[in-house]
Amino acid sequence: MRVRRVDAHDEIVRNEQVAVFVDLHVRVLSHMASALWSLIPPEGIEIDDLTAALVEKFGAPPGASAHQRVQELVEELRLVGLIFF
Amino acid sequence: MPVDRPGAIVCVRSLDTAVRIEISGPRALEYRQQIERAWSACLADPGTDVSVLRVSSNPDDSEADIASDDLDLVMHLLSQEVTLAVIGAQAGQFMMFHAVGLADLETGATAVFVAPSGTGKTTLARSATAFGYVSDETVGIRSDLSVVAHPKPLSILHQGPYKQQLSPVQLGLAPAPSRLHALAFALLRRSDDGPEEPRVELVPTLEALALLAPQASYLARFEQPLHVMADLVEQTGGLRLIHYRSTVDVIPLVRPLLEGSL
Repeated sequence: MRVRRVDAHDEIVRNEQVAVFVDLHVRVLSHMASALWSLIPPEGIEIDDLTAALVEKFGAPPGASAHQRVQELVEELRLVGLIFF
Repeated sequence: MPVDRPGAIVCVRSLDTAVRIEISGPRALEYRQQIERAWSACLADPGTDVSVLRVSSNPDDSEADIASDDLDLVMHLLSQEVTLAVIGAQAGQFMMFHAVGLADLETGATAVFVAPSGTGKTTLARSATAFGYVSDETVGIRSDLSVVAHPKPLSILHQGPYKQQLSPVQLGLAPAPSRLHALAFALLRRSDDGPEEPRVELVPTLEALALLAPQASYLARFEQPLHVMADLVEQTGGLRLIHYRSTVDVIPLVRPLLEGSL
């Protein structure tokens, strides 16, 4: 599954955390979501590659599947209109 | 429908925007007097680069933007229309927030209290008599932190169906100095079960942007609205979130906010 992010009107980073301005709303992303957002290139990225990049950055999540955690996070961002497939 | 020619003209300037109010109808002179009194802090010489609002005391005047023989209603609608016109004219030029602006009478240093409608903005502006009145509705801030005032009439509850529009002078408020600069940024959060003593917290920049955005006008007209807002917030030492129960509790915070001790 290829993950893409919407075109943000503006985005800004403070202390490795991202806020984006999309559809007249400001969304402040968690540190993990900020990293995920920043790892998505304009052409999109396969979710397996995204998972690998996040595991490399943060390490494997304790007691959970990294793939499942990334899927959940991607779904959260999709529901607020920041990500599409 | 009959159309009346303007019998009187009032020019106002607010948010750095001129508006010519053309008044017609059988009570044009009475309307003009009332408008001049309420908008006394904004009266200006006629200019060329202006928006025009047509007001008529003839309720059948279909050409007028506001047509009514109820002067209280006209004053109420005019306040809204002028505000919409000047905000619209400056969309994307500088940041504008729903806010109270209170200025130091000597230095022009201004505290900007951002707040949604119904949280006591007018009460705060009306009660903080030791400071110059910048606005009870909208405050503009340029990227160099200069403040653009909107000293419109204050909307005061009274017995009629519409709020009364009274000028800051009529309410005994001091005019703000002509040169204003933003020194402090706060967001008001009132609740009936809020703390007895106001509680102030410094908000991280990104959270500040999320809190401020709903109270900012025409954000989408900026190329980089988040960067513009973040610059304002960070240059003024960060956004203070003030939790409080009663508007009068906020007044003692204005001076410390301007002195950087809050």
